[in-house]
Amino acid sequence: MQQQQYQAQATKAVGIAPDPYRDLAPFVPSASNPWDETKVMHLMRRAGFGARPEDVPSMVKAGMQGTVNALLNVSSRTIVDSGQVRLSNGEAADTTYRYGSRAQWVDEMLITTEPLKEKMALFWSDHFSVGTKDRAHEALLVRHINVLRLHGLGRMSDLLIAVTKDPAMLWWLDNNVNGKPENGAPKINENYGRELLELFTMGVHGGYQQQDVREAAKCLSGWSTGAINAFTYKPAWHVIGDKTVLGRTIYNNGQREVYDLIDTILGHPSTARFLVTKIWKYFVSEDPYPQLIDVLANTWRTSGYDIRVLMNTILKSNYFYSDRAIKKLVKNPYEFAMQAIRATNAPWRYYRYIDTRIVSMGYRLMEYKDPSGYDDGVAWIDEMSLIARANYGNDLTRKNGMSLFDPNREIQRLNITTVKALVDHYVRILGVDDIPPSVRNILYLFMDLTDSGPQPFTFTPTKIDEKVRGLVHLILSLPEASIN
Amino acid sequence: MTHSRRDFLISGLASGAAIPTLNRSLWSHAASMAPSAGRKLIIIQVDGGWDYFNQIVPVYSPTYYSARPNVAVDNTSSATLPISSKVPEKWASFASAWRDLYDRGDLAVINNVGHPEPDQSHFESQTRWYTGKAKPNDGDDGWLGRYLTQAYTGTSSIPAIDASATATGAFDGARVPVIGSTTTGRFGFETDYYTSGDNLVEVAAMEIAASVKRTTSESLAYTSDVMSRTFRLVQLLQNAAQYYQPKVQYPYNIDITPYLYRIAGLLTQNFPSHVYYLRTGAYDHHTYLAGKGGTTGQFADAIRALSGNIKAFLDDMKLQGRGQEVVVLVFSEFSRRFGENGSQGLDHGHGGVAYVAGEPVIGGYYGKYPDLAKVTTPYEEWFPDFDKDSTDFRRVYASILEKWLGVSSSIVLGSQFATLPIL
Repeated sequence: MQQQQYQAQATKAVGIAPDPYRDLAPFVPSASNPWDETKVMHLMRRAGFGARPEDVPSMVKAGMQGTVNALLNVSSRTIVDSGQVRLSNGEAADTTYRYGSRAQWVDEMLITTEPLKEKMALFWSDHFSVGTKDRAHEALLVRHINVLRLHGLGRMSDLLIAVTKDPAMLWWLDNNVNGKPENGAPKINENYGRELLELFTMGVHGGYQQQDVREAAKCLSGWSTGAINAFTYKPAWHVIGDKTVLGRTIYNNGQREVYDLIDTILGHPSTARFLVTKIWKYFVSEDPYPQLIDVLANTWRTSGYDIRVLMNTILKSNYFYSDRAIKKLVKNPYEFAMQAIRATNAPWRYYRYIDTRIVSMGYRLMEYKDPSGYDDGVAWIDEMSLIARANYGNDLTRKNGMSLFDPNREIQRLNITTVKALVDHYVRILGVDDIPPSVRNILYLFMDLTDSGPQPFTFTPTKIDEKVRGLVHLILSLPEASIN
Repeated sequence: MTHSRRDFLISGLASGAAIPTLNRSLWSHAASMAPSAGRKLIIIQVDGGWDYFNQIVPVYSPTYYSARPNVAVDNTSSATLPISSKVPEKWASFASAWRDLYDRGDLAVINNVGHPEPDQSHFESQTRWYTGKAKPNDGDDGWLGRYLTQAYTGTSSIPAIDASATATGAFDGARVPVIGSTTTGRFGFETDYYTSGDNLVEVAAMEIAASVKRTTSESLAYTSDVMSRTFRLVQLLQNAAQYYQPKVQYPYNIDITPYLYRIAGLLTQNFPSHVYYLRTGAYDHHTYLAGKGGTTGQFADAIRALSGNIKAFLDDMKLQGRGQEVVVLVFSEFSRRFGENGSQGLDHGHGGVAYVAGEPVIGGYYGKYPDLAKVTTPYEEWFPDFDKDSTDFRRVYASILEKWLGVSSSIVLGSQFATLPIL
């Protein structure tokens, strides 16, 4: 109830005449509105998994254009897609299990030099929301991740083709049996065809009919698996004949029909609008206005559905660096968990701690129950998930916990000598500068108080070790720490 | 004491940070919570497979006395109590609390409950009760997991609590907090108590920080509201037993007593959960089930205490004015064999009795008591098979889902099962 009420408030118009061209124009820094640490950290929270504090000054120096351009410049490097792998912390991970695939991806999110590549892939992972029906299918997930990483910033048509062909998806939404003959004739399975239209491109009620779903499924018939982990086209499973999808004829052309099908879907105005809206809500704000989506959708269509062009416009826009966007979203569990590790530079020790905690926060990566993905925003927030977030902070900072968090090294490096400077430092690098003054006061007071009573903080190694762990835990439990 | 210490730290921090309005006694927050009067379901799973024939005794059957020469319950007025004029079986005297509930119409006795293709493994049988499926597949969600994710339409974000000492599989597929121990289990704020003298002050500071109103964005306002509410709920959970004032004595100190007590505390404080799950045990009585005459020994002690405490809990709820809100289901994964083994115990069988208790229940004797004409020798190997006279366990779930929780049982159970007129 309360949640709906907040959402209703959030969607109210803001009172100034909307100007999509001004809002989407590139942000130009000025003396009163400079390109600074706040904006760099905002960009990195949204377009990655948070800035590591030591990277921030060079990004401020590189300017907005330079920093975003660098983010958009991604390689085609893949992660290892079979057998045992060694994570950067020395742990082994088995890519034939979901757990091992997640481990490898989380490692990548934490140490990557191409954060937007991982962030886009996480977005697409939720968008396509692949799960598994069988233990053996877990081995397909790491290749699924690579598909999303490789095409996540490329052309939408390439991404759709690659996902449609991906064995993880073929098994998950049954296209591997679409067209399997019964009594000598190919028998259609609509599952993937429906979701391709409904959830992956045009959106629910996006303007297609049941007949379009049926015809799309016919185009897709025969796209199947041979070996469990290999795409195969089975000509005998393909429904012969011309198809009509969204009013356009797709001529009988065997497996090539899928390319025409995807062109047809991308040609429908719903598709760009639906996808642009979803991307905007994930990366910028929950309440884009219709004219803005229309302009952005046009830009994207004109570019040939190049996701990099779309993200270039979004991440450089005035809107993105305005108060309408900064600190207006809720962190999803991966954003929360990864940002905390990156901000504190805590060398993480045990992947299993991270995995368990993120599951407690409500996110089961690549273990989706249905094909519609997670609801974002305040849907991530409930009593259990907030407890899980606070407890993650404790696990991250405690001795012998998830990481080798070492406050002494940091304090010495920065030559911090006052309680105020110490608290302010951690408030800043953890991105919660927006806490109310009274809450900041609580943090100061906390430093001079123990369970047994007042005990002024001293800059001794023991005291630093004890108190700063608690401080960082405390900061991560603040409501502001869950806001992106 | 932890509490006054905590309150002291909170007030110190609050005044230091100039936050005047904090309510210092968190227990009193409970009063300000919106009342959530409504239907509550308490499930008590009896682990190990309890015996049926020594609770509801076929006193008319010579076969029973031949099959259990050492452990049968005598047919005497001190060992058994009549059920009703229409029911030939009798209560064992140590089940007098069941009888009391039955006599006032608050107990549905469901006879011969079982599942198709019985399996005498604890694990396999429990899995059926967890999943609500006749033949579960690996990885099937629990029936309450499916209820919560697919059928429940309420607004509580903590609709259920797994209050067992050992987690149940019935909630698989849904995120449910576990009380799990006498502290708060997984529904609590962790602090690093091994190395720090800051545990209380840390949580106190978290709590005060969350109590400060945020207005700069909707999502932040929402998040801080929920965080603030979370502290109240955690406090409620932690204090539920400590501050609870029962109106009747819970007569037996057994494994579930503190949990029943805690649940009573939560119910009366309108904690926003309506399903609570408990496990009690162990009833795996392969040896020395009972002394001669049947009314002494470990089984008699266990049933006396379990039924006595459940009755006390229901009496308490009635006196707290909550009697109409509470239904309790008691079941075990299977019942034991008809004949005793060589060590005055009973090996694993199938079927058995389940009880549904509470004021809203339409008391009575449901299902068919097993037909003992079917008993074959050797007695120690016989148990009631699953047949047309059995009550499919999914009918019990369906009855509760449809008539108490008000949802379509087929969503949860996969198909439609006839309900029993117990509610």
